[in-house]
Amino acid sequence: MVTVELHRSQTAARALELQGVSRRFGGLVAVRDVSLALEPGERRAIIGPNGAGKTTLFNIITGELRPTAGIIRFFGRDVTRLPPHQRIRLGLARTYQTPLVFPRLSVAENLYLAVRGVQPWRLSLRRPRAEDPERVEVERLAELVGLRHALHALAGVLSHGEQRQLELGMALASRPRLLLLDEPAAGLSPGEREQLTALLFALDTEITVLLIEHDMDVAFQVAQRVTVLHEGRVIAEGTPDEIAMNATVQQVYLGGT
Amino acid sequence: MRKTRLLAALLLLLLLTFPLWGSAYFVGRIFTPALFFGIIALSLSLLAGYGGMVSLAQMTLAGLAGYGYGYLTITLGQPWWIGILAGLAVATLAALVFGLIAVRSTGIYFLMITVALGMVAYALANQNRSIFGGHTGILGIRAPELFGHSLVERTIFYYLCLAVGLATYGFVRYLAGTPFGLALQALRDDPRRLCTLGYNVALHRVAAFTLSGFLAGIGGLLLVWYNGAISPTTIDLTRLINILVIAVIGGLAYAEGAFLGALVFVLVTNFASSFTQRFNTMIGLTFLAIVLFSPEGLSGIALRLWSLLRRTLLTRVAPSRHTGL
Ligand SMILES: Nc1ncnc2c1ncn2[C@@H]1O[C@H](COP(=O)(O)OP(=O)(O)OP(=O)(O)O)[C@@H](O)[C@H]1O
Ligand SMILES: [Mg+2]
Repeated sequence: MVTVELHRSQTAARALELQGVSRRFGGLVAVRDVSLALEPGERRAIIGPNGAGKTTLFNIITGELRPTAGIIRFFGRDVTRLPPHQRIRLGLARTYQTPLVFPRLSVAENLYLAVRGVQPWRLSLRRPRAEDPERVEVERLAELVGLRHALHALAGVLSHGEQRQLELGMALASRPRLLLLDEPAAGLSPGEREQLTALLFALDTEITVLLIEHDMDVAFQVAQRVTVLHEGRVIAEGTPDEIAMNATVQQVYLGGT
Repeated sequence: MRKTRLLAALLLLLLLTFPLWGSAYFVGRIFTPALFFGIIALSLSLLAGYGGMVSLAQMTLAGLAGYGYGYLTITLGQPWWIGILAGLAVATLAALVFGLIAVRSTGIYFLMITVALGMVAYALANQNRSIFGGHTGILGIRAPELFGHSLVERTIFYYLCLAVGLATYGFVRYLAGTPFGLALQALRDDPRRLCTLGYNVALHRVAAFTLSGFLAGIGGLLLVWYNGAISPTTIDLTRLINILVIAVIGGLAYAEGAFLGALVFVLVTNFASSFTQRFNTMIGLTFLAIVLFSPEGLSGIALRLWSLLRRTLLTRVAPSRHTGL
């Protein structure tokens, strides 16, 4: 089994590969020499205490922040110098820690923009028609994330949980190969959490998922492997069980003193 | 919605029949200028209302279209249709260049850069004699003639401005529901989010600015036909600010507001100047009152009155949005 894994990782391009990635903000090193490799289809969780640099790492992967050092490869391609919108078009999608949706546009319009964003003619001057495939896709996505009933509501009036659902729908709209989820369960009710976990389980197994999660239940359920970040550094990596047992991790993160 | 349609139809009917019952003064000197100033202000509504970009260069772009038309038809003696094409091309290209320079900044910095660009154009027009005609500008500009009638004959010109005004207004409203317009509204609210959906935000800003230059150019052609001349005064700082004042009075976020604001502006400048020299003060006070009491402009007031009216006098109608998405 182990040899098979190794063999595969040597031949096929990894979904995501970070090599020695660092980012400093003035005197603060938010991300310090992080290396990370995700196999296609892998589900990986990143955990770590507040300020560990998890979100910063996401911003570096999408290109919203430039790393001060290091290389980022996306399916074998070096994207370190690529602006965010071009990385997104390659099949990368993300959600934000506090949901970022367009409050003055409707749910349908939010989803529609997300669908169009990765297509050519995204700035078309032609209004979408009911029979357009993009419109059909919008309805499918709304159904998928449970917002069918709210299609025409303004995104700004949705509840926090619904905005999270909408954001997830927007992230899936681009049919991404790599999905980055920044604390998708934060602020959700227990019921909503279950829906989210179910949705993540039901995702196409070809989609690689990297998620930041404070909620251990969600993280350890969904992820096959876990990476622990602390003060910008990777301090441990392994299966959920290994991480749960890891002494260093318990010390810095799980509150074991 | 049906009630709103009815109101719009009534308004349209009044506008269409206006020359039949309105005084020549009101048709020619009030409503006609209100329409072409409205079109120039509309180019700002598009940028500011949808895209969150408040530009002070819209009058400059309009003026450049006028200069383009004047230079081609007067200085080079070309036919009017070449003048029109050149005028629109100049405004659009200038907007593209302005856009490339200005779109990296936002908010008040964007505004300041557009003022600076406007002032550069003003200085250029003032100093260059061979093309811009220096301080005097270009005189004796004539509107196109069709079937032996000049397009600036009062009634014809009113209908021309009305038709162009309605067309540009309809276009801007239509734009709201297109991918272009939706993305523009999205970048107003959250450019970063739009970027991580795959959109090139800077490019989109430039495209929107360029489009607004084309619209402003249309208004500029009507303006220069009406005036029969163009000089640097047309694009001086006061005129630049006037367009912002018009759009803000009407309600920066509303396409209707551009025309409403232009009408109020033309009325105030005409009537205030007849009893006081200080009509700038009048405009300033109107502006201040609007900003203080209704940041949404007159459109905001009108909308509130209308919904109040509907709620109290007429049957309830479910709010419905026009994009269909
Ligand atoms: N744009 C920025 N400018 C300056 N400092 C920043 C910036 N973004 C993040 N930081 C700092 O970098 C460190 C890491 O922040 P980051 O948001 O990545 O943490 P996190 O692991 O996501 O934390 P949390 O669990 O609270 O979301 C923090 O100390 C933060 O204050
Ligand atoms: Mg974070």
